[in-house]
Amino acid sequence: MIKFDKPQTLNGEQLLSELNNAKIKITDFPFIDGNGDLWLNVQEKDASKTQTILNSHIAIDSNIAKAAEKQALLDKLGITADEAQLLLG
Amino acid sequence: MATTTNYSWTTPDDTALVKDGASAIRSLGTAIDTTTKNLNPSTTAGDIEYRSSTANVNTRLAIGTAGQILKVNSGATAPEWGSAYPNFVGCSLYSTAGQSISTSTLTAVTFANEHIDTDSFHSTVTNTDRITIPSGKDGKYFIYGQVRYDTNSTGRRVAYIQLNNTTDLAVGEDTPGASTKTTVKTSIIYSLVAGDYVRLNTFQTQGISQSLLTDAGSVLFGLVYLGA
Repeated sequence: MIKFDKPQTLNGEQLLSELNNAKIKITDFPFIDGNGDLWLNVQEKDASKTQTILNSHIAIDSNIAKAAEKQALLDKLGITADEAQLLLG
Repeated sequence: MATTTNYSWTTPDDTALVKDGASAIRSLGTAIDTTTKNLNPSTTAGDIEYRSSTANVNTRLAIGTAGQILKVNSGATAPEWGSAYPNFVGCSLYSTAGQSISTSTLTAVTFANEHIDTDSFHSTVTNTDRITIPSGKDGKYFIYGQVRYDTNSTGRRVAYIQLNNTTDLAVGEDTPGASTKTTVKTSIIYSLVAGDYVRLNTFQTQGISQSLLTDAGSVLFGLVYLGA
């Protein structure tokens, strides 16, 4: 575990995705200790790159993100949510 | 003059009985009286005696109070009366801070308040997330923790009791509800030694940050010493 500067806002799932997209392998959730310090289970060689990603991390509400993703899919299919529900039974 | 085998009372010689019998008997009687009193120093009903550091001299222990039992003192040098129940050892912490828990982020819960802390297990100033076993208190402990989240049915709500920043000892998880607040509890009995510390960690996956509830009795952490 390596200690990092904490971003202003944090979405752990989103951060893992951002790190994985940058080829930094990590599966454990970020950990914030009692002093408010952020710890990540990344390798020492990836520390600098990780901090850069953290510096630009802005937490997005996953629910809103998922809702937007869902709407985009519905738009692509040209159907409404109710119609999609009907199709799925 | 001759003396007795056990208490070395002076007894008159045959010739002394003839010469000064009354005086010799008085001396013997006084010696017996002194010894008997030394062996039976009780003065009051219910007193008991125990051997002192001086041979043939007992120490009086006055009767205790109702419900007390006979124990050995802290220096292990003498008996004493004491409570039938051991003194409570442990701590009971709570938080009403409404600590914010980022989504999908394991977070140590901090505690600024103590109901009980008998032996400085916890500090409200430094490392407020930790309960640390003090010197001389190695043994078995019952450890418990609880966090409470507001109504919302998305994602998971989990709490861990973690040892020394490495080992999860116990985990609790509850299904979040759309109309009911989620209380996550966990507990364990575990052997701890001086210097060991435990923390209460939690995470939630609602998708956005969520604060722990501030209602009294919502966020709790503590331990009780059970014995060596």
